[in-house]
Amino acid sequence: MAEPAVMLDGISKQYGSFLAADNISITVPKGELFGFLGPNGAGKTTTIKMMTGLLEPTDGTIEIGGVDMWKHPLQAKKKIAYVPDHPTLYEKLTGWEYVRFIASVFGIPARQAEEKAVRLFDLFSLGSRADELIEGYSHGMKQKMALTGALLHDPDVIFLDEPTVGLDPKSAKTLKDLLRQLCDDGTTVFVSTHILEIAQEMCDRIGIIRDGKIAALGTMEELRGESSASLEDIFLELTGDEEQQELIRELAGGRSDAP
Amino acid sequence: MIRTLLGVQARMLKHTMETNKTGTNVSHAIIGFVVILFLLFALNIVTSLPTAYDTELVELLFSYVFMMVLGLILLMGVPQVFKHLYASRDLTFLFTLPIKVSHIFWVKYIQSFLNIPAALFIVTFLPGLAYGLHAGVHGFFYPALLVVTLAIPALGVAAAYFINMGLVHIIPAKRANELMTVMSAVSGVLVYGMFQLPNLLTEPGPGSETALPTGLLPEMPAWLPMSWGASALTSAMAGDVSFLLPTVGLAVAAAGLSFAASALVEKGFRSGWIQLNEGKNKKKKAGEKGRRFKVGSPVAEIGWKEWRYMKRDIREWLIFMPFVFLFIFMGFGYTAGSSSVAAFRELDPVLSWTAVQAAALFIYAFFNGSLSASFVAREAGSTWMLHVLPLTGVQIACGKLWMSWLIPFLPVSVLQMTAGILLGWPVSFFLLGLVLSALISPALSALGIWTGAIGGKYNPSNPQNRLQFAPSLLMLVLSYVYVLLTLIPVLLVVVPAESAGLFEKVAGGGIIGGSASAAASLLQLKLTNSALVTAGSILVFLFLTIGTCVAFLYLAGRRIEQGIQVSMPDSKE
Repeated sequence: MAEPAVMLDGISKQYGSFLAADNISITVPKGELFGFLGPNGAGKTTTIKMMTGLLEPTDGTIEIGGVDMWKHPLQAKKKIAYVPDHPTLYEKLTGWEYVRFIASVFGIPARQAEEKAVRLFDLFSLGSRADELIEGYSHGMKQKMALTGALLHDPDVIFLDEPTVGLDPKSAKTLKDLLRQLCDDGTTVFVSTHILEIAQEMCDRIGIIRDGKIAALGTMEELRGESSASLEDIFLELTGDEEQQELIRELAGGRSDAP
Repeated sequence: MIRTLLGVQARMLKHTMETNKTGTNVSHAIIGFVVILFLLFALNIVTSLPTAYDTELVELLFSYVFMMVLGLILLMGVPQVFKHLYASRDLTFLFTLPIKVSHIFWVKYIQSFLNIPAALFIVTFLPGLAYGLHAGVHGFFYPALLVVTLAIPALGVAAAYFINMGLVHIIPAKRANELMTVMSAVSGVLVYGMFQLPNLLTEPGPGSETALPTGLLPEMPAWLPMSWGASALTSAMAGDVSFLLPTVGLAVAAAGLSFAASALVEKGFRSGWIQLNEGKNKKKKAGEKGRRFKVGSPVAEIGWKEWRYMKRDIREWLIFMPFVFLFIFMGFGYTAGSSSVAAFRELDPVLSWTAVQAAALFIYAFFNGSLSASFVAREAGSTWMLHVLPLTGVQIACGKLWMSWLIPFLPVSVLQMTAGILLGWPVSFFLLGLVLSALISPALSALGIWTGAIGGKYNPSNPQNRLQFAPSLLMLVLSYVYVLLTLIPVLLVVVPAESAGLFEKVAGGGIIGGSASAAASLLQLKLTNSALVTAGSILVFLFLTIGTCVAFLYLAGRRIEQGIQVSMPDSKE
């Protein structure tokens, strides 16, 4: 295995008596596109927040490129970028001002930052709106602006929480291609998603979390084992969706026009 | 349907109270307690009034009470009605349901009434009732009191609805976010205008100001609804049947105005809401064509970000309201009083300088903390970004500090210098004043940043209220304690050592006596060793100002690194 870009060692997060994350250990090597799946409330966002310095784990250690996120947060944060599912950006800044803010924080030289921003704006079709206040952007545009800010400093690891939510098909395709390209160039991407096709198509390895615990971890082939099951089948089997399926059948049976 | 909708609102209120944090419920309980205390106080006053009364005096008193009720309803009700009519989050949902718009309107109307107007009804009706029983007035008084005390708030609410539904069509939709601020300003102007009505409409002459023994209040014109209410109550007290006409007139006016407002439902409510919601996403060019891309230090950029936020949202300017009022009152007092610039110029420059510095420090203590706290609370939903970025808490705090300090420092310094020119200070006084302000005020801003980090609150519709109750109280107390402490070494340098005798006269026990004897001892020491006391005072002053600033920056930085939680109350209510 290549040198680890992200290493989670026995991390847990407890809220009172509720264990949101329970002894999670994952190692993501450099250049890997790692998919993190799980049903709603399984602990995906909690885990990502702990990895990005937003939530302190109750137990365990998190290392980014060998730097402990909670012992040396500044060094670790210089290596990462995070795009949440609903990024609340500074709405009273224009796109350019936001980029300038990020460039200043990361100490990127002006010329380099400007060139990079122009490329990213073009890629995400934001160029014509970059002089407008972010508050006037649609959700998808805000998502793309957050991605622009995240990619500006060439991070070693990018954490993305539901990155395709709100994106139009073209932008979603651009993002998928970009993430693949970034990983091929050595960047590590840790992505949480509900869209199983994305995980199946793009990810090198997949981790499935349920009730705060890792239920499965491996490549698609490793998860399938001997069977020819799809990721959806594996996911539903691991996350115990049988009862819901039964309920859907019952509800559909109760309707006169049910198939 | 109205009942169903009201039932839903009641259940939501119940669940909100059940799920509120203990702190929120405690603050509500405190507010309730204060209202009850006020009510008991009012009841105590009215029951100790003499039972024999002067009809003219009572009528004037009633009319001013009703004017205050209407004024309060307009002042607080106009922005509140705007929230109910156009900013409630549930409207997007309700308008998709098969519910008549008029039903939604009436629910909002009732909600608006069951708020400040209902509270004002209680605090006018109950003391009125108590007074009636105490003075043994005629039985007509009680039904008249009920109708009048209900009709006056109802009139206020109806007027607030008319104002909102009218203005919403005049103000451009793209300014929707700022409309709330406009409503607050409009309500302020209206109330000011209303309180000027008796002055404007009463012809000066003999008898116009004689109704009260003090002769200070002009009579209220008879055609105003406040006068109808007052006249109805005084007639009813005496058992005069003529009370019926103004009572019924007032009730009809309140009901008529309310129904007239409801007639504007389609035009004013539904289409106004649509217009505002269409306007929300209009393009907003920042006009930065031909920009040059520059990269600054993170600390500077954080400060600039805050400045852009303030500059681009009129709502943020509400934070300056107390500041503006303070200047208006101070300016008014200065020009309207018996003093004049010429009289002030006669003052010893040391005295006038001290007075101006004291005023400036009062402004800093009052304003700096709340401004800088708002810089932290404004992060609200975007706190995640600061946590993810490679910034230390102290860097973030410093970024917010420099801008939140500079914003009040510049105008106050300009005012200080203007005062200095008018009062004929020597140049050294100007410089000393600026240095003093520049050294004392940053710690107040740092204190505000720390307070914002421990108890920030964010509601975009209410930008002047960015702190939870307890932290804001703590900040206020600490600000004044800090200013008073820093003034001790300053005064020790400024006050001549020869004044020791003056303090010795006051010296003794208690806080004042103790302070005076301490001051006397220090001044005695200054008399014998002036250089030592002056140098020591300067050192203590620098330690206090710089030390406090650094300490609060450090505490704020640590708190930011631990993770700040900005409470975000529902902007709907």
